[in-house]
Amino acid sequence: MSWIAYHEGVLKILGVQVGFGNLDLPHIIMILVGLGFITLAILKEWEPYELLPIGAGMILANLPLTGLTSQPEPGMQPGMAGVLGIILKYGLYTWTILPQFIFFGIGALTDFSPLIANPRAFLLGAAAQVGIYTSFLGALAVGLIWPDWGFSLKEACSIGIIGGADGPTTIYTTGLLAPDIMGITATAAYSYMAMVAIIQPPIIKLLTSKAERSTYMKPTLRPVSRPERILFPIVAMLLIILIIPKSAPLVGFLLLGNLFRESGVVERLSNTAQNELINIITILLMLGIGASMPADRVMDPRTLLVLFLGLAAFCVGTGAGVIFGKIMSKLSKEPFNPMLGAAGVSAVPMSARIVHHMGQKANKRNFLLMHAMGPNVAGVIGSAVAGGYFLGLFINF
Amino acid sequence: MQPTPVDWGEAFRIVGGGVLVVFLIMSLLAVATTLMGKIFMAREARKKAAAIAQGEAKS
Repeated sequence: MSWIAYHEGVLKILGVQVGFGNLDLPHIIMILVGLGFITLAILKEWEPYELLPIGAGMILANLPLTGLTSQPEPGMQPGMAGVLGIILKYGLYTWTILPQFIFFGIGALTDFSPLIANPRAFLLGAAAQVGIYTSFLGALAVGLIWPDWGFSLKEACSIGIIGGADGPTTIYTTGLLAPDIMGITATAAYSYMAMVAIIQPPIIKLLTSKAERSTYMKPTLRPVSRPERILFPIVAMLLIILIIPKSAPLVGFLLLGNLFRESGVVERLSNTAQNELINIITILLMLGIGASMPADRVMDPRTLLVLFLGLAAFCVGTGAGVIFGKIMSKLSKEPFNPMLGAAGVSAVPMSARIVHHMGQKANKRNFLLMHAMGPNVAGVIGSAVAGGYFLGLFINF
Repeated sequence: MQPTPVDWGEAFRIVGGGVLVVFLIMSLLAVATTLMGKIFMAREARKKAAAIAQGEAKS
């Protein structure tokens, strides 16, 4: 073998087997995006539990030749499927069980007392879901302007649901309706949740006067008895699922987790749901979300449209909540701060904290946190209902 | 990802139905929770009144 032929052979092997030889610009960009997510998670602490594993999954999925995202296929040789591919296939695409268990953990972590003590907060949680439907229409309208980039009804539902500001609902709904855009919708939902402090205050300020923002409300709500806290998840579960059966995977698991918490008799199970279970599922789910974004799927002009429409959904949801809050403020006999409507988007507890801080800024006597937690947790239920409604239109379990 | 012709009639029906369903369910939950609260608060109040009455009877 000549010297040149030998080196050509070596280069060929390197081209086939070494990652560097197979890196292209789209993959490099996605790796940089992944690194950006990790940086934001570590330096800014923006939703670190979500953005860090999503960023890591994104990097791993875009490194060439790893085989990590190879999904199991019938007849595949043992060991050929990659771990991220297995998570994607069974956790997100075929069985879609991971988001439900996240909801189970969230239910076990959530105290619905502020909502039970102030049931009109349910209406604020409903109003903030309006953003979902406006972005749904917006996504469909894209096809009128750019026919090649138009979205289908199922994709529009998945984009709209970003406005619910609820990661698991977005993942579950998109996983079933439009798995191709699941990674980007989920990332958008978590990113916008992380940016609540940047997105919501200007909208709230735009729609309210300083006098409205400084409206004083008594800082405490009535105490909620244990039987009420136990009955609430049962009543809510039956009522919601009997009207929208397809919301059962989300609402059922959310309220089941809450029943574990409030019953007080299965403390170990509740603690597991609140800690180990939700942590394990978060690792799997977020790595899976990151891994669902290989460059060839994400490097598409429509990705930017999804991000924009998701942001619009979030903004419109916030605005609709505040406007509804203003209506309630006019109708209410007692003082009612209209900013509470902004907490109806289910970014728990960030939106509630934003409203609380803005309330204190406008009036130092104000302590709105408990009032804002009501619409905030109502938003979780509202977005799960909206997701279930979309699923009911297209999916027959 | 293929462009699909949009049936706007269906799209607006979906939006109308969605908004209606979310508000309906949340309103029903609000009513149910209010009723539940009233029942339990009345029960608490009765218990307290009974306890006070018992205390007064003893004294």
